[in-house]
This record gives sequence, structure tokens and C-alpha cells, in this order.
Amino acid sequence: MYARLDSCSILGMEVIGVEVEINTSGGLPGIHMVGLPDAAVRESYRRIKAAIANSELPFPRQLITVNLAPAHLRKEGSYFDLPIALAMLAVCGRLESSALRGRLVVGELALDGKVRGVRGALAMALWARRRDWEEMVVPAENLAEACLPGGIRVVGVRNLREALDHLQGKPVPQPEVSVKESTRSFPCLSEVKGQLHAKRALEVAAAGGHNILFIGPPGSGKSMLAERLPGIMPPLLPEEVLEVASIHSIAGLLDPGTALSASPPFRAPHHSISHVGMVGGGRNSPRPGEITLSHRGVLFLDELPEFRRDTLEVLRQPLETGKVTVSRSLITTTFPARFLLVAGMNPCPCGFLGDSVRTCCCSPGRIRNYYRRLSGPLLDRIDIQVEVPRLTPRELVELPGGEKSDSVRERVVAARQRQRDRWGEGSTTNANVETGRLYEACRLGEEERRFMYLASEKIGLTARGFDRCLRVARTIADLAGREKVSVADLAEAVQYRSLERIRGSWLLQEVGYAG
Amino acid sequence: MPDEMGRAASPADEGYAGFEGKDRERSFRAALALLPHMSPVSLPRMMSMAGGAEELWDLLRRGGERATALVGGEKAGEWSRVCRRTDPWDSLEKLARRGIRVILPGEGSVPDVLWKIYDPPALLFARGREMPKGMACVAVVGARKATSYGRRCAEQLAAGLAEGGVAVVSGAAYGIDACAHRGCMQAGGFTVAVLGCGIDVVYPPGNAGLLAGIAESGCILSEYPPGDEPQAWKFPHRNRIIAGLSLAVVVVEASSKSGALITADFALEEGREVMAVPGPIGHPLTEGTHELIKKGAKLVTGVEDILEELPPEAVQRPLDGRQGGQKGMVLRDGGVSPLEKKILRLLGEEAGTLDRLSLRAGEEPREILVALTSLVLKGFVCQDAGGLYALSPFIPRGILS
Repeated sequence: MYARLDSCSILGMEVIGVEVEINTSGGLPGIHMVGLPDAAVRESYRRIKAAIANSELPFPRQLITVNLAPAHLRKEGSYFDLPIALAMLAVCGRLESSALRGRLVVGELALDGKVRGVRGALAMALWARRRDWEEMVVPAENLAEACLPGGIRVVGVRNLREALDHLQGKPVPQPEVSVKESTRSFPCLSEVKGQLHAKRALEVAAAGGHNILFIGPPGSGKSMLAERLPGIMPPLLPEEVLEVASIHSIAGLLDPGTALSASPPFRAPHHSISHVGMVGGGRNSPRPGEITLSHRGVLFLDELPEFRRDTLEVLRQPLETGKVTVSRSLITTTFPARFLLVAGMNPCPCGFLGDSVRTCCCSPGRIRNYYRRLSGPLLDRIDIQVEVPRLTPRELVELPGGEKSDSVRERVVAARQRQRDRWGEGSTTNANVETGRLYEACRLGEEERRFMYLASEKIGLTARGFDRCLRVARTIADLAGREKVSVADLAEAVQYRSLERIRGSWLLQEVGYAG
Repeated sequence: MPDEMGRAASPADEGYAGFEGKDRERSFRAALALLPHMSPVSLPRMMSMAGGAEELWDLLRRGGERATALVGGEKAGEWSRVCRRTDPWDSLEKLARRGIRVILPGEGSVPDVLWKIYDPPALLFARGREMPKGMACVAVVGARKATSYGRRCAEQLAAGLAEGGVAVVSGAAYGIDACAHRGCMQAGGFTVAVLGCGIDVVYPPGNAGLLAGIAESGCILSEYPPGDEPQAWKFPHRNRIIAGLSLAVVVVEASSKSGALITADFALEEGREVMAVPGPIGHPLTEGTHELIKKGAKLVTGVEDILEELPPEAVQRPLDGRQGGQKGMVLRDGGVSPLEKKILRLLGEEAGTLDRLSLRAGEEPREILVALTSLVLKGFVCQDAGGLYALSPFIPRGILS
């Protein structure tokens, strides 16, 4: 006897279609599972046997061969419990083989016959819609998630019996899909007192997609500012929403029962993270790392110099190209990773260099080493660097909160629109447009050029620093709605090169951060 | 080996006949200073007890009771072995091959005043250019962790001294020292770095570039033999040479425990002028300088304050009334806008962050940022760690009125 059923699985960031085939033949009862199953898949046999028995359904007493095709790809996870069980029931004659056709089935089985949720249902539903599948059977837990993309019939099942009923054409009660409005909202910018300089820098960063570094003593509000960045970023475009949701679904981070959220994701990994945790990886089937989870959103790295150097160095390629390719012995996967990097660091190891109240107790050599932990190529990719001074208690009370996130976001959205009009559709921003097009779009007049020469001479801007300044100035002009980049825009942009200045003047050239 | 033993058999032997006078003395002193674990502090004392460098060498080479009485048994044995297989002339040649000169007391390549101090070094190792004959020195010293104000002061004063034809002496440390050297070099002057370690040791490591620059346009001095490691106790000791070389010591920013105050103490003992640059009261980095001023050190607000204390022949190119340090400043556009003037006035009252300035001026932060950049480029405002903006020293009078 032979039966086949379609299912799918996740490999890296990709959904792959898997055909589940079952054949029974004479011989001692037993099972062969072929098609590169991993441990979780091989164990499914025992779950299926118990689940079928506890659902009071028949189990084939023959030699069973289960094949998961295509045979050359490794199969992972517990997606195939339900399809294999249904195929076995078909082999026992409880299902017509025609009932197995035209639908995708995924689900994990519990020993009592219940169907458990799986990760990646949203990504699978998206994939199924693209491949013109008519129907998808998913665990009831994943129903809301799988319904989000739309354009495909999705049936949720609570247990094996319900799945059987559905395939036999009997009606199955569908749980109420209550899609809550997204409750993810970010704290408001007006809650941060003072720090006008840093807030303005944050606005410029959001508008132009510039990476940003806050340098300030402990308690100056670096993390507070960073957490408020997604709240002033433009909402995600519809296709971006699905892209982000599908990544989070594969990572198992999607909150069941929540609508798609148009707010950009925000990730803040601790500095003990490994480089695999950062860029993604894993032995056989690479899982997305933090930079992919913050795709189209914000990656906040607090205490930047405390991160392991190799973890920071792997950020260089994704910061440039917006994606990362992870190669393992069996598979090579490309993860999307276009994120906005927000980093925080202290001005020195003890944190109080330049503080108005406490004195710093670090030796010049220690401070030098602290800055040396950050490589030049990484810092070159951070367009905006601002110092965030600590406020006195009096200032905390007296200083105004300033603008609300909503009104800042309006300006940011308008500035992004101008960039889209200029650079064309897509995710090109002032921060990542090619240099040639940038120079074309901000032709400097005689006065502007003279200013930049003077600035490079006086502040010690490097060639790359000059390029980054121009990008930031372009964004400042966009925020103001000006087509031409003026001296004032450049002058403001120059102020966002704190590190260049620290390197150039604090202890003078002695603090060479690039070593 | 018989030949070598024969050559080093006695100072009167033919092996020493090839060189006479100063060079002969020089090679013995160099060879003595290069002995393992020889301390520059005790070398002059040993020499005076033995009656001279050559006599001391001879005594150590022969070893025996007198050597043991002078330096102790362990060292006497070791040094005796080293002396027997060393040709003093060779050690001088080896140094010369590495570009290291040996300066003896009384030689004109450093100011004579150095050799008149209480405990002058037995010799100095030197690298770099020869110091112009008769050039006077002024020391500019101060804190390693300096503020932008202090760094700027050191740079401008050093530049002014360079323009007055005076050499700037300092210790090649981070902060004020580095700025003093750099300011002098940028103005085309001659600068002298006195190290607390071997002359070929790069310390602090971050100043490698600076030291290379000094070796090219100025000179580096040390009483420690090449290769000697930097150690904490060596630095106060070398400060007496910094003070000894100079006619005046200017302290720019010093905390109450700063090494710059040790230099000032040596200067006082040797009767040199001590001067200090004032700063805001209550700041840890002005405690030392203000204490000096209270005790009678001259308060310095410009390079002319230093130059007028020097004997007229020391200043080679008098400044004819021009305000010191101003020349190096780039002033493309002398004028300032009304907002810039407002910011300068506010900063004149108190240094502040952008937020404070924006609040006090009642302007948008972005307007303030633009004005600040322009002021920084004009050299009127400097930026400190912690996002603090402060008025630069030496802004031309009249700009605020």
C-alpha cells in the first residue's frame, strides 16, 4: 500500500516543500524512515504511534517505509508528525488517497493525539500562497498566524481526530480567530528630559537610516534614547511587514493572536552574545541571528566596547550590504539584515571622563585601549556619533521634555519620502546610497566646498568622514525640505563626528582608536 | 682571548692610544653607564670616590677589595667580568652606529645651566638633532589627562616660545607635555624631550609618532642607558633635568599631586623662574597651578609673560609687541554673527553643553550647532570630553565687545 501527502519545512530562512510518502510491505512490523531525517523527525514515529493509539485509530501492522522527499535535503523539526500520521491512516484505509491531495499539512503530535503548534507557520502560509496551494491544515494554535497573509484557505485542527474528520469532508469547528490590534507601542521621546542634542541626532538618524553611537556616562539616558528610536521611524511598508513577520515566525518569536505590526522591530542583545548569536548560524540548519531579527528595525548594542571583537567585526559586511551569508558544511543560507545600528558606550572605562560632578579615575593608557577595542572600519560605518552628558538632578526637574514622538515621526516620514522620490523605490536611504549618486545629488557650491576643506583641516575629518558628513548633511537638508545642501547643514553634520574629534583632540592623536 | 685581554690590560696601554681628551672620557663614561644595573643616581658618586671615570673603570675591571668596598661584592664580581671583556671605545662606536650621541658635562650641546645643578647627571644620551648653540630653554609641563583648555594653552605658549627662538623642554608624556612638543614643532621651533627611560624606548606607546617627530626636528635626551625600561621612580628623577635645562618652568594644569609640581620644586631649588597658567577655580586640574601662584609663581596669560622674564639675549627674535600664539591661528573670517557673539558671551560666563546653551540662548539646538561649528573652526571655542563646549584661551580682545 502506498500513500502520499504534501507538507513543508523550514531550512534556514527558506520554506521547502516536502513530499511525505509511505509504503507498507510484508515482513516483520517495523519502520524505516528515509530522506535525511534529523533526531526530532526520527523520534516522530513513537509520538505518532502513541497518538494514533490514543485516538483509537488503527496503526498499520506491517513494515512501513516513510520517505521524505526531496531526499538530499536535511529535514528538521516536528512538522511531519501530522502528515505522516494521516498518511498511515490512509494506508490503513481510513482515508481515500484523493483526500490527501491538494493540501499542505503541518503539525506536531502529542502522545494523546493533540496537535501542537510549530514555528514558521506564517512563512509557510506565505510560501503556500505563492505556490498557489488551495488549502493548508495547521495546528489550531498557529491558525491566527497562518491566516495573516490571506489568499489561501487555512484550517486549524486541535487533534488528530479533527484532522481526520476534515480530510473526510466532515465539518470541523474552527476556533475564533481573534486578531488583537497590535499593542506594540514604543515609549515617547518627550519622556526623555533635556538631551536636545541627542534627540536631534536621533531624528536625523531615523530620517536618513544612519547608524548612530551615543557616548555618555552611566545614567545619561543612552538606552532610553535608543528604545525610543523605533517610535520615530516611519512605519513599515506592507511588503516589509510580511517580510519581518515571516522572519519572526521562523524564529518562533511571533506572538500568537496578534495582528501584523507595522512598527519596526527593536532588538537589544546583551554584550555576552556570541558571533553565531549575532549573525545567525547553527550546525545543520542555520537559524537567524540578532541582526536578522532586527531586519528593517533597530539593533541596539549597549556598552559597545564590551562586545567580543569577533562579534563586532562580523557586523561589517551586513552593515554594508544589508544581508549576511552563513555557510555551514551542509548548507549556505543568506539572511536579510538591513538594520539601523544604535550603539552606546561610556566615554572611558570608569564612565566619568568629562563628567561635571565625578572625576574620572582611568589612566590615559586605559582609555586609549578602551577606544582601541572598536575597529576603525566598524566606526567608519557609524555616521552619527554624539556625546550624551549626564544631567544634574536639578536639570532633570527643570528641563522640558520637548516634542512627542508622533510629531518627530511626521518629519521623518516626509524626509524618507523625499529620499524615495530621489533614489527611487526600495530601501535606499541617504546612508546607503552609492557614493556616486550621493555626490550627484548634493553638488556643493564654492562656499560649501571651502567650508568642508576648512573643517577637514581643523577637525581632522578623514576622506571617509567627509563622505559620511555629506550623507548626514543630505538628510538634514531633507528634513528641512531643501533640495540644496547648505553650509548650515554641513556645519550641523560636522558636529555629529564626536569620535573623529575625540581621536583628533582628546589626548590628541594619542587616542588612535584604530590602533 | 689574549689579544683582547692585552688591549684592555691597562688604561695606559696602547689599546687606548687611538683616542684622547674628550672622546676618551666620553667612552669611559658611556661604558660605565652601560654596565648592567648601573644606576645613573650612584654613577656620579662612584666616579668622584674613584677620582674619575677612567679610574673607576680601571678599579672595577681589576675588582678586588676596593671595588667590593665601593659597589658591594655581588656587583663588583659581575662588573669586573663585564669590564674585562668590554672595550670602552667599542661601546661608544656601537652607540654612534645607532644614532645615539653621548653628551658630557660642560659640553655646549645642551645649555650650560644644566651642569650647575645640585646633582647633574654624569652624562646624557641624546638622539635627534644637535641643539643650536646658545639657545635658551623653557619647560612647559603639566597634567597627562588635560582639558582642551589646558592643551590649547600648552600648544599656544609653546608656539609663542618657538617664535621667540626659545627651545621648549618637556617630558613627552600624554596631555600637556605632548601638546607643548607639538605646538613648538608646528611653529617650526626646536623642542627637547627628556625621557624617564632608555632613549630608544617608546614610552608612552601612544606617543610613538610624536617621539619620531621630535627626533627629526628636535632632540631627545635621557640619562638612562638605551633599552632601559620606564619605571615610576625614574620620572620624578628625570624632572630635575627638565628643570635644570630650563631658565623657566611653566606649569599648565596640574592636580595637587601632579609630577609637574616636582619639576616646579626642582626649578625653585635651582633658582629658575616658576610660572603657572590659571584656570577655573574648584577644578581638580587647577589645584596645583593655583597653589603655585599663591606661593608666588608668576601668573601666565600669554607668551610675553614668559619671555619678559628671560634674559634679553635668550630671546632671539623679540616679539615686537605682537600677542604670542596668535599667529598660528587660522582666522579666515574675523567677524562673528550675532548668534555666535551671544554664544561666546554665554560661554564666557560658564562652559556648557549644547542643551544648556540652547536653553540659555533660547534658540533651536540645530541653530546652535551650526554656530558652534563655525566658532570651533574659527578657533574661538573648544570642545571637551562629555560634550562640553568652552571658550578657548587667547581669543582676540574686542571680539566680544
